[in-house]
Amino acid sequence: MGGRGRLSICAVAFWRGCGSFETVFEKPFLMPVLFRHLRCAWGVLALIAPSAGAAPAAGPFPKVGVAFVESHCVSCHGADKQKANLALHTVHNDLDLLRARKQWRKVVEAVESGTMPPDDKPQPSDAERSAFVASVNAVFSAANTAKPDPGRLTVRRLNRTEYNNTIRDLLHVDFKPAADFPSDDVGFGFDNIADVLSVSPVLMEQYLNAAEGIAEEAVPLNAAHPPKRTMAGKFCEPASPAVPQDRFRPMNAGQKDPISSGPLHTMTRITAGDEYWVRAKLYVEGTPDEPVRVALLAAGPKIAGAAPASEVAKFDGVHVQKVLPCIILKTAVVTARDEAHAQLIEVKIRGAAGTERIALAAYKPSFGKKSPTLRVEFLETEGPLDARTPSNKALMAFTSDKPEGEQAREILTRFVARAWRRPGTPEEINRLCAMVEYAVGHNEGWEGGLRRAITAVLASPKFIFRLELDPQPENPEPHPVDEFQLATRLAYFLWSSLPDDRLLQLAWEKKLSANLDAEVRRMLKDPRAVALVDDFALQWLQLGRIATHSADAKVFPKWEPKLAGEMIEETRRFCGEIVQEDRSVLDLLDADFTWVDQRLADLYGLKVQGLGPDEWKRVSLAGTARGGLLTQASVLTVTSNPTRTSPVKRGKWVLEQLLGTPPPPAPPNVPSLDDSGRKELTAPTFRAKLEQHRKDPKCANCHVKMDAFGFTLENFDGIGQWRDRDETGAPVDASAKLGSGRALRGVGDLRTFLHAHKEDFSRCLSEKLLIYALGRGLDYYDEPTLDRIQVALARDDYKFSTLVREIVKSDPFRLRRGKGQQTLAAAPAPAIK
Amino acid sequence: MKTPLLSRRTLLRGLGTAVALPWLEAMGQLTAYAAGPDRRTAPNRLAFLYVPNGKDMPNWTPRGDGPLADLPSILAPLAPVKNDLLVLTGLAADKARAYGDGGGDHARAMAAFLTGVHPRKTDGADLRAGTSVDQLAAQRIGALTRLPSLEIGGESGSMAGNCDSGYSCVYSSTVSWKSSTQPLPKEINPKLVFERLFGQPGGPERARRDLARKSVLDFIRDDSRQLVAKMGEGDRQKLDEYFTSIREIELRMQRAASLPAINAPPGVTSPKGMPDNYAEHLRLLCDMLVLAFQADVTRVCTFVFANESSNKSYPELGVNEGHHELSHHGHDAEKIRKVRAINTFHVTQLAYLLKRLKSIREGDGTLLDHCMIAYGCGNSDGDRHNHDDLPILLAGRGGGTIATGRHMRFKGETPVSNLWTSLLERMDVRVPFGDSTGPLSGLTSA
Repeated sequence: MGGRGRLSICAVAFWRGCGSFETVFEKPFLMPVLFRHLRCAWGVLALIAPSAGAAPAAGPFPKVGVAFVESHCVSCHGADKQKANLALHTVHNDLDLLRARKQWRKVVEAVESGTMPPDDKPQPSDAERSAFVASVNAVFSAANTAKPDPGRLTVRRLNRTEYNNTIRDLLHVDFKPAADFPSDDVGFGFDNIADVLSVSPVLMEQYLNAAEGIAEEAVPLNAAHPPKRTMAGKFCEPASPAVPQDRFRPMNAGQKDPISSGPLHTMTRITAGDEYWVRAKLYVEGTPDEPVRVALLAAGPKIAGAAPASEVAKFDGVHVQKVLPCIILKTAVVTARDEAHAQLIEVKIRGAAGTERIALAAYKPSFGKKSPTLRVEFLETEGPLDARTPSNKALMAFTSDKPEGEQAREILTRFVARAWRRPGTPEEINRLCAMVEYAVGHNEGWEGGLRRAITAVLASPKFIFRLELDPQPENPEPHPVDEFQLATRLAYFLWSSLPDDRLLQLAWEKKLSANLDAEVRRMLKDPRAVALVDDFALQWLQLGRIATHSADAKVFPKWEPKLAGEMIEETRRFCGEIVQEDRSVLDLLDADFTWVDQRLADLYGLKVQGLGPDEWKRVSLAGTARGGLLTQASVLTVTSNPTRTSPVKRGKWVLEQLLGTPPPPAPPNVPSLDDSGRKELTAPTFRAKLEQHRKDPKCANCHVKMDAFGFTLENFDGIGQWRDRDETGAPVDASAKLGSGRALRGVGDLRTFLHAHKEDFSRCLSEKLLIYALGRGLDYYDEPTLDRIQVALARDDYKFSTLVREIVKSDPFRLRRGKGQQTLAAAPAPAIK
Repeated sequence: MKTPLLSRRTLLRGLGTAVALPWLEAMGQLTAYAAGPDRRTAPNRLAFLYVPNGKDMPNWTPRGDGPLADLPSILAPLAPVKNDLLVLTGLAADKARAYGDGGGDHARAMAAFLTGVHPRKTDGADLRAGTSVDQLAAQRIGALTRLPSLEIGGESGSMAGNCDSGYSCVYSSTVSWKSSTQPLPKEINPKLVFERLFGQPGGPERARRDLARKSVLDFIRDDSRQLVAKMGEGDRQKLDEYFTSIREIELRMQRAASLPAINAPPGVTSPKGMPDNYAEHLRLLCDMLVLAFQADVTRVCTFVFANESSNKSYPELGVNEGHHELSHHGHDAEKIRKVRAINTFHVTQLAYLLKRLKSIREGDGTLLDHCMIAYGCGNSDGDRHNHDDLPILLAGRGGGTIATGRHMRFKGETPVSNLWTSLLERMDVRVPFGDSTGPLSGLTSA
C-alpha cells in the first residue's frame, strides 16, 4: 500500500497504463500492429524499454531488480509488512518503477550505501548490490533522455468560476449566472480537472437557462426610456421666493427686475458625444410689436465651441452674463399667443464637453420696439437617447448603412471570435446568420433572431468546453497547440477567464509563442490574476473548508462566523502580494509580514489601532512568533476541530500541502488516533495518549512525523490565537521529536525545518500549480518538467513569476499528443499521416 | 358495475388545497406487479434517503423480530407511523468493502449502496461505479412523468480536497448513477428544486420557449457535426455526455408537450432559497419530495440528507463537533450520545416526511400507501466502517405489495441489493442488478 499511497497523485493513470502495456506484450498477434506504427510508438517504447531498441523486451530491471527485491526486501517491505511505510512488492516492471521514482531513489540510496538490508538480515554480495542499483538507474536515466511526453489532456469544461468570469469578461456584466449550477466535482484537490468535470442533463438545462438569460440582457428588445430632466419655469434660475407660482413663468427682458428679466437657465447633465433632446415650451403674451425671436443655449464656464461675442451680444436681459460662455443650440420665432397653444421649441443635439446648464434667452428687440413678455412653462433635457451600457453598445456595434443581415453577421463574427476564443469559420457564421434570418422571417424580429443566435453560441460545446480542435487529433507525436489554443490555456490558467483582445490579437498574428515572457508578466500584473489566489491558492491550501467550519464559541469567545471570512481575506491579501509583487514563493513559509483588519489584529495581539470596518493594513510580524502561511488563522483554524486543536490534522496539512508527502490513509479498522477516547489508553493528557498510542507500530510510521509537526504548532489554539496554556490549564508543550531523533521546539523550529527543506516545498507547490494549470493529474513523464522548474526557481530566487513562466513554457503546457500509448493495444490503427 | 373512470377525477387533498391528479385512473393498471386492492388507483413511487456515517446500532435495531413493538430510541420519532414501517436488519453492502483498495470506506459505502458495484478507486480520471437502482427504475418508467427522476440533498458536494483516501469527492456526495460512468449531481437549493418541479411556464409560453430551445439545440447539433473529426477519442467521450444531456432535454420537451401541464398546487409558493437552519432545509426538501410525488411530476427520487463522511456539526442539538469525527467514537460514551442525537435528528426529519405523505389521501388510501421510501446507510457502525448489518428501513406499502409494521432479520450476508431488486420488481423493472442474488422473500406478507 505504501507505494501507492505515496504516489497517490498519479496512482490512477499508473495502473491503467501498465495494464494495457502488458496486454500488448502478452499478445503476440498484436505485435505486427505495433511494428507498423513503430514511428509513432517509438517515443513510447523508448520510455518503456530504454535499452532494447525496436524489440519491446525490457531492460534488466524486471528480472534482476525484481529478484533482488524479492529475496532481500519484501519480507519487511512487502504485502504483509510495510516497515517505514514502504511496500516494494507492487513494482514489477520499468513503468511501475518510473511511477514510484521518488521512493525508489531512496531505495537505491539505501542499498548503495549499505544501510539496507539491515545488519541483522542476510546480506547481498557487492556484485548483487551494484547489479540491482544499475538495473534501477538504467531505467531512470533512459527516461531522462527519452523524448519529452506532454501527456494527454482531455477537453475541459468551464467550471463554475470560469463560466462566471468568462461571461463577465465577454459581456462586461457582473452577474453570476453559474451561481445556481450544480457544484463542480473535485479531483487531485482542484475543481478544474478535465476528467471529472462532467455534464449532466440538469447542468445542461442550466446552461440553456443561463444562455437565454444572458442573450436577453445582451440584446434589449425595447431600449430603456432615456432619462428626462424637466424643470418648470417657476423653478428655473434666477430663483427667488418672489417668483410667481403660475404654470407659465413671465420673462420680459425689458423689465430690469432680476426675477423676470431673464435669460432663464437651469442645471443639466449632458455627457459629451451623446445625443439629447433639448426643449422649451412657451408663448408670447399679448400682441408684440414685431416677431419674437428666442434662443436655446447650452452653457458652462468651460464649454467647448462657445458662440462668438458678436452673437451673444444680441441677447437681452440682466442675467446674460450668467449664461456665458454658451453655444446657441437653436433659435426660433415664437408664434404662440396663449397657454392653450403654447409652443414647443426642441432640438436634437450632440452633447458638447463642458455643458453645465441649458438656457432660454430672448433677442434684443429692434430699436424703439418694446420687449415682449414671454411665458415659459419649462426647460427640458432628454437623454442620452442611447441609454445602453457602453459594453452593450460595443457588443451590438455595426455599420449602420449595411443591410440588417450584414449587420447581424458583423455582430456575430465579433462575438464568436471572443466567445469561442478563436475566429469563427465562414460556415459557422453562415449557420448563425441563417438563424437570425429564420427568426426575421417568422416575426421574431432582428433582435429576436440575434438573441437566438447568441443563445446558441453560449450553449454550444464550443463555448462550454475549451475545445482544442486538432487536424490530427490522434497523432501520438507531441505537437504544439495552435496560437489561439495557447492563448486560451494561458488565460484560463492565470485569469480563470477567456483571453483578452490583446492575447487574441497576438494569436491572430501568430506572435504569442514568441512573446510568452512579456505576456505572462503583463497578465500577472492584471487584476484578473487574482484568480490564481482565489482559485488556485485557496484550493491548494484547502481553505474552502473554513466555510463550513464552526468553532465552538463557548471555547473560543472571539469566534464568530464572520471571522472566518476575514481569516480567508488575510490569506488572500497575503498570497495576492506574492503574485502582484512577484515575491519569492519561500515567503509563503516565513514572510515577516501579513495583512490584518481590526478583529484579526486583536486575535493576534498586534498593536494596531483605529482600523475602521473593512479596513486592512499590512503589518510587520518581525519579533513575533508569527510569519508565513503556517501561522495564519485561516490555516490554523481549518486544521483544528471545533473545540480544540488537532496536531494530527495540522501535521497532515504540513506533509500534504507544504512538503508534498501525504501520509497514506490510515489502515482499515483502526480508530482515528485523533479521537482516542479509547479505554485502553490510560495516559492522563491527550498528548500523552497520543504518544502512548503511537507505540502501536501500525500507526507509528506516519504519526511520528505528522504529530511532531502538529505539536510544534500547539501554541496556537483552535482559531489561531497564541496561548501559553492548553485547554486543561497546563502549560503548552510545543516540543516534538522526529523519527530521526531530531528535536523540534515550537513553530520557530518548524519554520527552520521547512526552510531547510525548501526544495521539497517548492517542488510540492510546483506540482500543485502544474496540476492546476494542466487540469490533469501528474504522471512519471512530468518529472523532467518538474526538474526543470526546480532548477529555474533556485536560479531566480524562487520568484513566483519564474514558476508561472516555466510552467507556461513547459512541454505539457504548450504541446499536445493523441492518446497513443494507452491504447496501442486496442488495435484500431491510429490515423497517422 | 363499470365505473366511468375518466369522469371521476380524483382530487388530492394536501397543503390545504385540492390538486387535480395529473395521472388518470383511466390509464388503468399502473403497476403490473401490484396485486393489492388499490392497484388501479395510483402509481407506485420509489425514494431512497441516504444518511451518512453509520448509526449507533444498539439504539437503532429493534429488539425482537416480527411485529414492531417498542421502538429503540433512535427510531422513537417514528412511533406515529410505526405500522407503515419495515425495519430490515442484517443486510450487507459487500461491494463497499476494500477488496484490496485500502482506506475509503465512506466513499465506497455511498457509491456501492444503490449500485451494488465496487467503485473504482480514483481521485480523478475514470470514475466508475454502476447504474444505480433509482436510475434503473427511471429508465423504465421515467417517460411517464415530466421528470424521470429527482436527485436532491441537504449538503453540497464537497468543493475542497480529495474526499476520502484517494476517492474522488463524487463517490461520497451522490448516490445516483445514470450509468456506470455518469454520477448525477444533486440539487440542494429547495428553491431550484421547486423550479425544476413547477417552474417551467405552462401553456403557450412554454411551447414558445421550447420551440426556441429546439432551434438552438438543432443548431448545436448541426454545428457540431464536424467536431468529431478534429477530436481525440477521450474528448469525444466527454462530448458524448454533453450530447446525451441534450437528447435528454429534447425528450423532456417532447414529454412536456404530450403530458398534461402540471402546476404547483394553488397557494403553494416557491421556497425563498437556502434556509440557514439545517432542519428547516431538510424539511423544505421533504416538502418538495411530497409535492413531486403528490403532483406526479416524478415517481423516483434520491435524497441525500448529508454526504458520506460529512463532518457537519449540529449546534442546534448542542453538538459542536463534526459528525464524522464523532462517529469514530472509540466507545466514548459522550461521543456515542452525540452520534445518537444526530441519528435521532435525522429520523425525526424522516418522520416528518412520512407523516406528510400519510396525511394525503390518494385513491382508497394515502399517498404513503403508494410509496416505497427506503432509508439507510452503507456503513453500519461508523467507528468500525463495517458494511454488514446495515441500518435499513422501508416505509410505505408499495401499493399494497409490502406488509409493514414489522422487523425482519436476514442472515448470512444477504445483499442489500436484494431489497433493491424487490423494490424494482414493484416498479415493473426486472433486470439483473449489482451483486443481488435475487429478490428478498417475505416482504409481501408476514
